[in-house]
Amino acid sequence: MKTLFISIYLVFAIVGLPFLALFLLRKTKAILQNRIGPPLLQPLYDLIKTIRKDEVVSKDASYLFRLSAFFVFSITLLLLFVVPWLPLKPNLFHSDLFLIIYLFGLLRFFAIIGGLDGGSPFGAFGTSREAILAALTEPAIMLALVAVAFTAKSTNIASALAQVDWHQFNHLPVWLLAATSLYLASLVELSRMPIDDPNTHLELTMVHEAMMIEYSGLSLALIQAAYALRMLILFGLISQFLIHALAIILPISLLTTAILTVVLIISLSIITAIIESFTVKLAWRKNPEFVAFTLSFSFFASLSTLVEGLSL
Amino acid sequence: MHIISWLFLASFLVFIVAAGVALFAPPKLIAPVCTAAQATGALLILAISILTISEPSQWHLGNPFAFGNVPIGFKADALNSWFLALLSVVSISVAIFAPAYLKTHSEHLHSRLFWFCLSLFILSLQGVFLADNVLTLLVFWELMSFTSGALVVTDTSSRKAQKAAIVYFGATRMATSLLGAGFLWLFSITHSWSLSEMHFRLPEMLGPAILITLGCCIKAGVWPFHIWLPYAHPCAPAPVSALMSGIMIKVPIYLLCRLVLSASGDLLPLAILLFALGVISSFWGAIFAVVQSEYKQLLAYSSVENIGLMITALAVACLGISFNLPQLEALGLIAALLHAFNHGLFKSLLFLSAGTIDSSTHMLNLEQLGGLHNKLPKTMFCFLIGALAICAFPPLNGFASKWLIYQSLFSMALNSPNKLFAGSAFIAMGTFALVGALSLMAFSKAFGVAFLGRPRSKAAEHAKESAPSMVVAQALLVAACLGSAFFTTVLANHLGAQLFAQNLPLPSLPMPLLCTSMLSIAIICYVVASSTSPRRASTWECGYGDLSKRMQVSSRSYAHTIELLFSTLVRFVETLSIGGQDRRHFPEQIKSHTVQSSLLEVWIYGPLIHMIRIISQYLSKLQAGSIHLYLIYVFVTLIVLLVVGTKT
Repeated sequence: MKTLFISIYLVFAIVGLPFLALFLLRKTKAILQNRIGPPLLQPLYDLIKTIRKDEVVSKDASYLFRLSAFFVFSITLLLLFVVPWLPLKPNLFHSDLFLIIYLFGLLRFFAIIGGLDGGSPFGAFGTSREAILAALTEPAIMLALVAVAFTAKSTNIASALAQVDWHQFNHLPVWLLAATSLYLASLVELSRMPIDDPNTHLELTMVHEAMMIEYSGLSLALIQAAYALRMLILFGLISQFLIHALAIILPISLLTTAILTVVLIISLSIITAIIESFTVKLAWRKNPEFVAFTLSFSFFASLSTLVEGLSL
Repeated sequence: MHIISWLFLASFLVFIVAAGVALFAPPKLIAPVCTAAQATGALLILAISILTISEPSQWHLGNPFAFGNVPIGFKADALNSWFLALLSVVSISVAIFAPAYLKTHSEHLHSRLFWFCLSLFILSLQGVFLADNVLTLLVFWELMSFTSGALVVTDTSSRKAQKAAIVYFGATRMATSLLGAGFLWLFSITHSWSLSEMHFRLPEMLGPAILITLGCCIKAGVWPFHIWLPYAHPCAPAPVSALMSGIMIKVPIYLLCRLVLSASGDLLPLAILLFALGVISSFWGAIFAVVQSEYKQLLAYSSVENIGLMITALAVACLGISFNLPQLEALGLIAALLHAFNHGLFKSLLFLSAGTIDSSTHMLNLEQLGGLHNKLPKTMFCFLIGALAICAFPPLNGFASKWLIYQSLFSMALNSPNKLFAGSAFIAMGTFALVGALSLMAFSKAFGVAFLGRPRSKAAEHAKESAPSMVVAQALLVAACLGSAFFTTVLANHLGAQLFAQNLPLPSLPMPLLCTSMLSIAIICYVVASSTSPRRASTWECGYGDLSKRMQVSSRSYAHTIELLFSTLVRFVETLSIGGQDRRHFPEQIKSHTVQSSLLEVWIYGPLIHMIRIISQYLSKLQAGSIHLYLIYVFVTLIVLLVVGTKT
């Protein structure tokens, strides 16, 4: 019985939740803009529509073009099992933080190759921006994860999450700051506002959408699915951090954790939608300043782990 | 005599014969004979390394061959047999690669000089790795410096190569004099020339330790002594760059590893020096790699970056010794060694791929390449693997060793008693994350601009896949990279067991599992993606008709934001001049000229060289050309020496 519930939960979280999160993101934005918004299954319809469409590939593109889309999707699937973003989930490998960061890097590398292939000027702008944003946020993500791992004295994020540190209040700021930093970094990673506006009419100004401008049909569907899953992984990881911070104050059972994860992922996507409705896109040259916030949060997270280690 | 010493002598002779053939044989015979000889020599080196990897062996040459009472001694053990294995793999690939490369560059390159110096270069590298005493080491070190310097100017008519060789010789002279001074000082303390008996006891040997470290840093191209690398690599022929960047700059790393391994006591000053230099050079190298447009210069700067990573890992090992944490010492040292090994493999691979691009297009600038994906498909694959490995993406070998470096830093943060060091380890990890992302940018740029898109010049448009031997050489290194990735855990544990007496548990990743799963993912993706062939159309151009070759990203525009963000380090000056009668409305001629230099060259090296010039102007008055004056100098020196000598 328990196994059945766990498997239903896992299937819902991996298959249903990305669509739900995307739907809520769009619906919240629509409500805030006085529109009716899409129906519940619209992301699914979109995906099916894209898969059924005919695919066109640039005649200047190499075989790496389509292959990159497949790689991006399958590396995301691998990450789904490596990153401990969901409780009750079996972890395929050691969920080592350096492995996670470099797998995300590999994902980005193939996304960039796909954007450059075909020699599209739009795609190239997008990839250049993506690479620069990645270079700026990478230290923040690294420091946030290292700070968290430091509390567990192991580079395995799963074991950092599994440790019980009830009423160790000195760990509280580490987890909260790391979660904040990771959330701000994931806004950059996922090309959301205020870094990138996925809804403008001009590809020239965008990051993620410009990078995948040449894709169509099945490849496009794969890249979009990979995007949704990446959002799920990042938001899931942030929720685990927040739940762990909560567990320092209150004892939380596994069932509550499982439910809280879903609630938190959903609320993070709603928060993202609200942020997106009330902020404007930053000018390209202002982006390093936004990233500096992310970096300073993770600096403080690492400082608080180190200070805690000083045995005050 | 032992079998290993016979093998050693045989490989020695083979290289000398190859050098002789290069000088005296008829031109047609040179390339095949030298290739065969070098491959044989490299196989003999491989045999030595396999035989000595778990049982050390020591030998020296017979009586007439000695430096006074110091024999020309050699020793092979677990530490240097790894480097020998690396040397043999890379030199086999270089030997296979070089003839076809020389053929495509026959009008510039001096083939006799090339083969002569190359044979002696490989011989000297072998000698440096195997040397057991300091004198042997220095002799081979000098031979290595001279032959590699001569190889940089194989294109004897090029002004650029001459300048590069002067810069390079300047750097090697500095390195050798520092090393020589350091070893002499060390001899005055220990009274022994033997490397294996040389035990660094700090702090009483701090002076020589710092001299030797600085000498090694200059030779390895650590910041701020890295400036010879971006000069020498673009001018040197690609096989030479592969050997220089893959093996030669690992020689000082090897030497430092050996000295750290035998060190004891308080190494804190050395550790702090190495740590700072390592972190700065990895950062510096990564920034400059991103903004380069010449792909060989880009590779040269990325060597600076990777050497920085190794030096940092060595610093962690030094900290482990100072804090008496053998686990940390082992972790740092093994991380540095494995990264040196892996970097040797994929950097040589990248240089050979760069050489292939060079021989099919004769263009060194990325801005003139593009669209090589259907002209050089095999080279593209090899370059892609090399780029993935050097960006340290799982499951390739670069990741395996970079992971160990991160682990050593993490362990340093956890275990060091002083929180300042824990904080520095955090900063280093953050910096390396930035460095990793920047190298992603550099290599996605190099790969994307060279191979993808449309050709940007006639030469790139008419490029043809190069000779099969060049592809074979690259494929060999690709296989070595994959194999090293698969067996990294085994390699690390073996090294740990051989180098350290007690069995220290090292952190490990399930690399074989990771390799097999990700390779199978790649194969499945390839099969699925190539099973259907979608409709082809032109790239989206907003409906304006076909895109021209200039309507795509250039190497400079791809990295321009980095230039702006780090403009204090990367001195980037753009001058725009608009010509014509009514220049404002009808410009007839627009000229844009960009100059890019580095902070270090503008602020430090420029004034330094200027100062040396002024001083030497005054000093040149001493050299008046009169024999009487010189006799007086000799006489005065003699008197001074006599006075000083009798006093002590």
